[in-house]
Amino acid sequence: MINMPIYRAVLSVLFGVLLASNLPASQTYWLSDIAPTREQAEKMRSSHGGMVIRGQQGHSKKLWLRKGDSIADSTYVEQSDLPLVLVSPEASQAELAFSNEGYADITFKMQHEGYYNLFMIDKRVEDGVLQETVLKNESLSHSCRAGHDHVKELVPPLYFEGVSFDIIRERLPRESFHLRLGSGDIITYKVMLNGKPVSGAAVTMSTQKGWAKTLKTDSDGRASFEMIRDYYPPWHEFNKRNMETFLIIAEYESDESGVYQGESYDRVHYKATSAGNYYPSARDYKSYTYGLLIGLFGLTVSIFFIYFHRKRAAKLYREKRFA
Amino acid sequence: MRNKIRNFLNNGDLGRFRFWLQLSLFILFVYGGYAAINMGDSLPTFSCTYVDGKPGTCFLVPLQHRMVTTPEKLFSYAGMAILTGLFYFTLWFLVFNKAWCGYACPLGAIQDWITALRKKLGMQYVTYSWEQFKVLKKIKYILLLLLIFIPMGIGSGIFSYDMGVPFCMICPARTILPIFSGDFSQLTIDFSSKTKMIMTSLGMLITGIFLVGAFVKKRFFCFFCPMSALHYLLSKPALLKLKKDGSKCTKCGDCYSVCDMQIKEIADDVESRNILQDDCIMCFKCVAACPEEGALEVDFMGQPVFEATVQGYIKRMEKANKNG
Amino acid sequence: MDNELQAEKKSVPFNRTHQAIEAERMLRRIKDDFSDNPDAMDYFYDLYEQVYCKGESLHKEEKVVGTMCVQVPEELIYAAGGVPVRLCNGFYTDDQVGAEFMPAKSCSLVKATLGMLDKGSTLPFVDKVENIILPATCDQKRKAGAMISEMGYEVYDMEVPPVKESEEARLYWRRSVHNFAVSLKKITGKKITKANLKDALAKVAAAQKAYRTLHVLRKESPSIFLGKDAFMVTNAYFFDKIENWTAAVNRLNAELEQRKEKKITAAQRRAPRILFTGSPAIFPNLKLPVLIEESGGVIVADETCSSNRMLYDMVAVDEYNTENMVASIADNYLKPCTCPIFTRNDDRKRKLLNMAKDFAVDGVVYQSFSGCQVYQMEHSSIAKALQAEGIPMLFVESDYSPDDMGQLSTRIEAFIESLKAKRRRKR
Repeated sequence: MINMPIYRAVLSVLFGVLLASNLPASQTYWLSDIAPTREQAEKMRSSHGGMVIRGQQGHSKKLWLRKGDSIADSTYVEQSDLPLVLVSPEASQAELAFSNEGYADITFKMQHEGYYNLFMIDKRVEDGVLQETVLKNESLSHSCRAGHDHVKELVPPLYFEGVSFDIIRERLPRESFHLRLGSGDIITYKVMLNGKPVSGAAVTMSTQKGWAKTLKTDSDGRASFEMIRDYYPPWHEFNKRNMETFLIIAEYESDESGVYQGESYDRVHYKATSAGNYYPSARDYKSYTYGLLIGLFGLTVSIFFIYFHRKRAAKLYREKRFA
Repeated sequence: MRNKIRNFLNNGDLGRFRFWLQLSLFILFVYGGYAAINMGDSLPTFSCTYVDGKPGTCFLVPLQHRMVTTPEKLFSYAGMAILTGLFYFTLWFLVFNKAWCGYACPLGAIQDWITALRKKLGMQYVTYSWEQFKVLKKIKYILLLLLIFIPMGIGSGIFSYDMGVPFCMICPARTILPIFSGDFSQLTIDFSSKTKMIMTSLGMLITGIFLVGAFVKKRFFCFFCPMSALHYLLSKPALLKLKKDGSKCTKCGDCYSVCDMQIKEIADDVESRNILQDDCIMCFKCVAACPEEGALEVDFMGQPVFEATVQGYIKRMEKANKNG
Repeated sequence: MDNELQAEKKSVPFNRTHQAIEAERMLRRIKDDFSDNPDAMDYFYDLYEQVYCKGESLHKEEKVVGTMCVQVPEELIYAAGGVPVRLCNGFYTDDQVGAEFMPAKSCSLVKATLGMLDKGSTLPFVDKVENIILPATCDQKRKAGAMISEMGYEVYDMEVPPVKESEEARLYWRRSVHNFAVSLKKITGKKITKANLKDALAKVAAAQKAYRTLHVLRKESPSIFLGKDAFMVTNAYFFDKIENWTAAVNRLNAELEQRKEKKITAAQRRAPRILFTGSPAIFPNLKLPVLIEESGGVIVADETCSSNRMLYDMVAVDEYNTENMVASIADNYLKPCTCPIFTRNDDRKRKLLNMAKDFAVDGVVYQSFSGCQVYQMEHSSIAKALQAEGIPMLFVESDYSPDDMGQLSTRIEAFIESLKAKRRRKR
């Protein structure tokens, strides 16, 4: 008997190679900023908002196309001809294409400060169902050298009208460009269908280590996830900059019928993916208790020091000693 | 008319003026950001970057940040950024000279309020002996050198990035000022790395020492402040000046008696015209307490704005005796 | 002499004693030899009459603490419930008594004071002085302490540093004042507290304020107030009740303000303006000031410990608690002190030059008692400093005896004439 999983895998690879330009609906594709090889990773430097390629007039962001329902089992796609749209923080749009040298990746320059949104939209009819898939990546471009005066206006997310089904990460209260999502933070996603929030959409968050949770959006189109904590290294190996990836998949089915590119459909299946990174929460390595204890210690020692110093000074007259 | 204005200023109740100005500027430097005030990041006072509502940032923050560079880069574009910042800092500073310390600094205001609390409790203050004074006054220069060279060490790979903004880590303004907007997060010890642990521990230790020190000694921290050292190095061309006419000085020592910083030169030096010392916070209590007409004065752009007069002295002392 | 005086004490009413007669003579001269004395001066003339001529005592209820020398912090004595009375004496009568047991070449002031104390109960203006605070200033005052103890008084030696510039000196003097403050309790029976020290500071400050106002009024040109009256006013501070004295000086100031408005002058416009410095002129030994003014000069300012130096330097306090107040007081009594007993006299030179400029002084008269080593040794450096500014100085060596009146008046008149001539030449 042929090993079913291997058979499936071979089939899907064949399928993937043959139809490299299409995204089969059964597979989940997403854009990631994590480099596939070590050499590629070493070319990147960390900056606010993730890994970038450093440059003189602004940094560049490099993204790869990955596929897989779970991050751990996902692979890097080697070729894709699907078009990309880049929306800058100034709301200008540009059409880009993957450079298929080794991997399907895309590099773009981030000259302005703010959030760059990269969209890959795939629309086709399969078995009478219109599959609308949106791959999204939101990257932050920020350099402290430019100062922080202009930050407040650039923080809120952009609503891009060219996209029918969009997932938007809502900003945390008092969020700034220096935010690092951490365990314990409540991350809220808003699902928009044709520019309006949609309720009842299924939003799944899955993490690198395999945890997954699915929620349905409420009447405002929101689904909130409390970022889990899954980093438990030995005490001395704790790295506060330990980065892990999470993946958000939103799906919604609606009964719409119509014709698209000559094919008719009676249902639409919307899917959107977006990836992000999270770090350990500050609460894991910052202690108020120790802080206050040390502060109190300093206070107490000073008080004793001064008290005894004054008592002693009142008694003796300090004599100057010969050298 | 001119005499009327002069008399009004010279007879003024400096203590009351100072209290209200300090309070207003404290509100500015701790909450001004909420009113969208933006004064840039080259301020010559402790407008702490960790305070959410800051209207601008203390110059030492970008100075330490920008010093994280290699010596080659320092002599090229990175150095330009530092010089630009220093230029704006100097512009801000030269207008009011060290009166930024005595009237604007929010940490200074806090220390003065702690002193007022101590006075209310009827407790006496502590002073340094002359030997202690001579040794301790050097600390501010050492801290200034450290906050310039440690970031350079980070840039050259000697220290880890966790040592970034080394002075901010030990500055009491970082721990105390955010409390005024309900932010206690700076009171934590950061265990994520050994360096962070040591620096934050040092910071909390110094906070504890600061609270006690400010309680028993007037303007305790100002004696060790690297910003004060930086100020003094640039203070010669400033517009606001503290001047003394030694020929009128009787060396009565009244100015020394009231000086928060225990500056002897204000009483003993009868030769210098510009009597500003590196410890001086330009609170002008000395001018207010001088009973010799014209011996001490505060000049702005060459014009006297506050002079020691017998009438002013008597008025202020009578009031102080009644209330104090 | 001693027996004679003892006999006198028993049989003669006070106003017929040698002392009273000497006082009356000088008082008459001061009142009558000059016209148009300010009305407010009557208070002072009457006070001297009452105390020196009639022998009435002023401080009947309070504990009188005798002081010698201007370095004794009076605020502390007031705070402890005592009344400081300066005992430095100006009587030739008493000088003669003192001469019996003092070396020939001694300071008249010390001789007179010792003479007065030796006589015992004929001290004119107090009932009884048991305690005397004596700062160790000049040689003669220093040695007088032991002699006064032997006369039956409780003498408190106050330690004064001979060098005042160093930090050690400041600390030494602070401890000295602190110890004095603490021992006052034994003397007066009351402890110094924050409240009574504050009140004492206010009381003395009020007196100093009155004096400062008078001091500033004397800057007027032409002069509206004569130096002989100024000395009377300040000498009265030695023994008068401080509140009465302050009130009287304020009345005097008000009257002088009126005179200023009405342009009533005390001296001619061309009268040379004199700065008087040196050994203190103490009533009734005001012969030199009176001579100067009788010769046509006017003393507009002085730098003596019986006048200006007693009342000029005001104390500033930062925080009103006992330790700080005592420290501020201590510093204020040491640092600005221009007494020649200290090693350096730069402060004195600066003060004299500043006053000379401020008061538009034409000449300086420098009095030194015979036997006063410190004043005599300083006079040449003072003369040089004044000469550099073009201010002529007359050095006069004198004592309490009336024998040198003739010689003095010649020299004074000559000096005044030369000043007048210089003025004419300038024009």
